[in-house]
Amino acid sequence: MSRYEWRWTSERSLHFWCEESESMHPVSESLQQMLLTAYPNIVRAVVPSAGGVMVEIDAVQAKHVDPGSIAAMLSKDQNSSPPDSSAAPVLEILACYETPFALDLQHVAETTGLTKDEIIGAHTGRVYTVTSIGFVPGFGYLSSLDKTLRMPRRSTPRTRVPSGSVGIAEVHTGVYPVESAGGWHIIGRTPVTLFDPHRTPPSPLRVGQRVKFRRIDPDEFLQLEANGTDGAEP
Amino acid sequence: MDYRHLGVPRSGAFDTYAFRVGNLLLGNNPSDAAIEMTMVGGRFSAQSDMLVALTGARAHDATMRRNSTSCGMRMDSVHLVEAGTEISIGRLTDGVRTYMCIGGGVQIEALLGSRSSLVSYPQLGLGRALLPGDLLPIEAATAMPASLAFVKPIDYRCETIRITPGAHWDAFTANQREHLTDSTFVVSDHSNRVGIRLGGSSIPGTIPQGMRSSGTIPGDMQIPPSGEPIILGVDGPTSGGYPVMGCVIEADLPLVAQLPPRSRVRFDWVAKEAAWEENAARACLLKGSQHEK
Repeated sequence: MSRYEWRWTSERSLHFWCEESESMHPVSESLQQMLLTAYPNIVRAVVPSAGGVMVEIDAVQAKHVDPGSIAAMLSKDQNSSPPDSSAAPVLEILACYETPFALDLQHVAETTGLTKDEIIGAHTGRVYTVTSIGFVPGFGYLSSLDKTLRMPRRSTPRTRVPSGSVGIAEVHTGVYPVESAGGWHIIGRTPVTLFDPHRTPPSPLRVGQRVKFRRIDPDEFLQLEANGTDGAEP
Repeated sequence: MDYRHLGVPRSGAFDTYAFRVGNLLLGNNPSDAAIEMTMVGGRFSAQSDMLVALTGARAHDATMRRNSTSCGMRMDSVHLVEAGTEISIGRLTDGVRTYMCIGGGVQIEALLGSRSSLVSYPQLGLGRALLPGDLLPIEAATAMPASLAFVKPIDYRCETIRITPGAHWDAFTANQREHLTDSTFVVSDHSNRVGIRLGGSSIPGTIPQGMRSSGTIPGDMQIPPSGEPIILGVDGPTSGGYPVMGCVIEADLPLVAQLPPRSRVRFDWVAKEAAWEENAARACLLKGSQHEK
C-alpha cells in the first residue's frame, strides 16, 4: 500500500510524493483528467515527475482545497493500477549516429575510451524510462544511461542544438524536439518529429513511458526525413 | 486545457492583471487573445472598425491617426477605432509590457486550446512574435460596451515583491533565506518571458544540488549554483532540477512581469495564508468592477 505525502510549495501549488519510490509508477493520465474535472476551475495543472506530482491550484480558491483528499485520490490510483512495465509498449526512436549528426561522438569516444560502435551499442542496448518532461515542450529526460557513457555536461553549452539531436549527460539521454540551446553531448539525430501541435497528442512521450533507440544509416535518415515521418513507432 | 505535463509552458499574457483589465473594459471574455508588446510598442493599421484598450505599462506617445486628424490614446480606456486608422505606440515607461486588447479578441487559430504564442521556440509551431505585414483577424465592432467598467491599474513602481516558501525552502540555510530579503537585486538584461534573471547579489554559501526534477510554476524562484536567482516566467520550463527557494505570490506576479532590465528589486517573505488574502483582494479589484452584461 503506497501512500502519498504532500506539502504546499507556494500558496498555489502542492507537491505530492510517494516515499516508496521503488514501486512508484507515474500518475496516470486518467487521474490527471480526473483531478482537472473533480476540481473544475480550481486545479490548473497536473505535472508528474519521477516519484511525484505537482498540482497547481487557482490562487484564490487554494485556501478551500483539502490536499489530503487529493493525496487520497493519488494513493488510490497508485494502488489500483499496479505497474506492469513488461507489458507496456516501448516507444522506438530511430536515430542516426553518423556524421554530420553525431556532433560529439568523437569527444565521447575520447572521454570514455570506447569505440564508436561500443558507444552506439551501449546507447541502443537499453530500454529507458521517461523520468520527467520539461526544459522545452516534448523534451523527455530518459533514464538511465549505461554507466560507461555517463559524463558531465559540456563545460560550455551550445547556443544552437539542431532539432532532433540525441544527447547524453550524466545519467540521462534525450532528444531535442526543437532547435534550442543545450549542454548535452550530441551523439546522433532522429528524423522523426517529436513535437507537433497539430497532432493529438502533440508528443508521444509521457512520464513513465519506456523508450528504446534503434540505429539507422544516413540513407534511411534522409529517406525518412524526406517522407516527413510524423511520429515515432510504438 | 493544459499541456504542462508534456512540457508546454502555460504561456499567455505575462501581466495577467493588465490583460484582464483590458478585456474587462471591452466586455470581452477574460481570456480573449490580445497583443503583448515588450519594451517598445509598434504601428498597427485598422482594416475595420474596432474597439481597442491599452493596458499595462504606460505607452509613451500612443496616438491614433486617421486622415489628417490625430489624437492621443489614454491608458485603461476604450477607444473606438475606425477603419483606416493608424495606431502608433512608442516606447513603454514605468514597466515593460503593454497590452492592446481588442473588442471580441484577436481571432487567430487556436492550437492546443490556446491562442498564445510561444515566442521562444517559433519552430515548434506554437505561434511566433508578430512581424510587419501580419494580418490579424478581428471581429468588427458593433457597439461600445453598455457600461464602462471601472478598473484600478496596479502601481508598477512598487519595489518589494512578496514571496512564499518554495519547494526546496528547507534545503537552504536560515542565512541564505535571510540574504534574499536583506539584499537588493538587479534585473538582468537577459530576462524574458522564460525567466527574469537577477544579479547584483547572490545567495551565499553552497547552493543545494542534486534535487530530483519536479514540476514548476510561473513565479517559482530557482537558485542555480551561481546563487543568482531566476524567477520563472509564463514561458518558463514546466519542470526543473534547480532548487526552488521561494515562489512569488500570484498577486505580485504582474510586478515581476513589468520589471525593467537593470531595475532594483527587493523581496519579502510572506506566509501562504497572507498570500491567499492578497490574491483575493487583487481578484476583488477585477470582480467588483465587473459590469452587468
